[in-house]
Amino acid sequence: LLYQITVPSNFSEDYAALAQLSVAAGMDTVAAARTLFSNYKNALPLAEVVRRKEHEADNQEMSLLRRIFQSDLGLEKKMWLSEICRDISDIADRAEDTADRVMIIAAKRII
Amino acid sequence: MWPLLSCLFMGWALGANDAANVFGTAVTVGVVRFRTAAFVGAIAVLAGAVLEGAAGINTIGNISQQTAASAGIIALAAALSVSVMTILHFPVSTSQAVVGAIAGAGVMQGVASFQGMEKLVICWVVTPIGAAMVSLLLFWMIGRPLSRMPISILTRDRWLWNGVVVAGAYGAYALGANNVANVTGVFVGAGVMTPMVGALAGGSAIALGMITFGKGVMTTVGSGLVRLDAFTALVVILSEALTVHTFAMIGVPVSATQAVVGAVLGVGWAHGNQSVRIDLLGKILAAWVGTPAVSFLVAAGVHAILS
Repeated sequence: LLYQITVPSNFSEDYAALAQLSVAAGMDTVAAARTLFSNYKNALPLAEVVRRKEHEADNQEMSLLRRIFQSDLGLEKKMWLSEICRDISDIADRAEDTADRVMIIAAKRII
Repeated sequence: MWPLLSCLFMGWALGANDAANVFGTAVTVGVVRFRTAAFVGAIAVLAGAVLEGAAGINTIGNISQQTAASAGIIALAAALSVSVMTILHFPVSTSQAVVGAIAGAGVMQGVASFQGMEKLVICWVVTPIGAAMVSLLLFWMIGRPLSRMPISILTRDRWLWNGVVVAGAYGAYALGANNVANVTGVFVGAGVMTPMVGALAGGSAIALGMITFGKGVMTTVGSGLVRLDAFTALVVILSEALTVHTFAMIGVPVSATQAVVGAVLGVGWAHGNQSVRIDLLGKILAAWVGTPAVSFLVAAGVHAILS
């Protein structure tokens, strides 16, 4: 709000896709954690889905960063946009960390 | 009086040491308080000794004919040997210590008879092997249906930890039924007490050891060894209890500690850990030979000094 950053229109779809993927990873993590309290064995495939989504989000993040820094925008704008990109991707990273813990809790109990 | 005191000391040491085998994991993890475990364990030990201890008492009592004094020497020698072997960190068996002491005292009295001992020796060897096989079997019998149930981790853990406490009580019952013979068997054989009085006195001594000194041993076991998860703990304790109880019904006192070691090895194999820990097997073998040998020598020495 303070800096009034606007995402250029040629990047807006990429940002939206990255945000959707990161949020989906977070929601899947919540679902995996909930499964621990109903049928813990089902938590493993859900946690695996989160890992795949995080990997995909990483790829999208790198691709977007590459495009930002290859564009004609000013350096300060590039820095701001890259920071926003990393912040959004962090959601997927944290989701993966949590999913890893869920996976360990479930795997320890599978005979 | 001193022979009886040495027998009660033996029972007390046995209870203090073996309490950790049945309730150590549950108490260390905090599933059950030590007071509750000790109370339940003491009652179960006493019940096992009184209801099913007679067969083992008769086996030990019939190995050789003793006087009250020689029975006291045997109990003292066995208790000292158990203490020495425990300090050396061997999976010590009071049964082996008592039989070694009986042989040692018998040799010094010139009335040594090794008849009937072959049955005991075979059972000592079979104990860890049998416990390992039982734990392999239980691992699949409990594990398979459990892994198919659509339950939460909380429900699963609650079921298993409750099972560990129940298995611990059963283990204490089996311990009382099997090991009371080590405490008072020679005294019953010497005619100092009846089998029922022997079972009551021996069971009470083991229970007292469990209550008064069990906590320290449990804490040591909990902090010194790998902490078992609920499922492994249940399989190990149940295997140990079933093995020891089976031998109690046959009337052969065996080692609860060696049964636990065998059960842990069995669970390791079931988990796919095929490697055999040579150092652990070496310790069991050393305990099989060392405990009766040390006890034999101590009994012979004590007998020589006192006579």
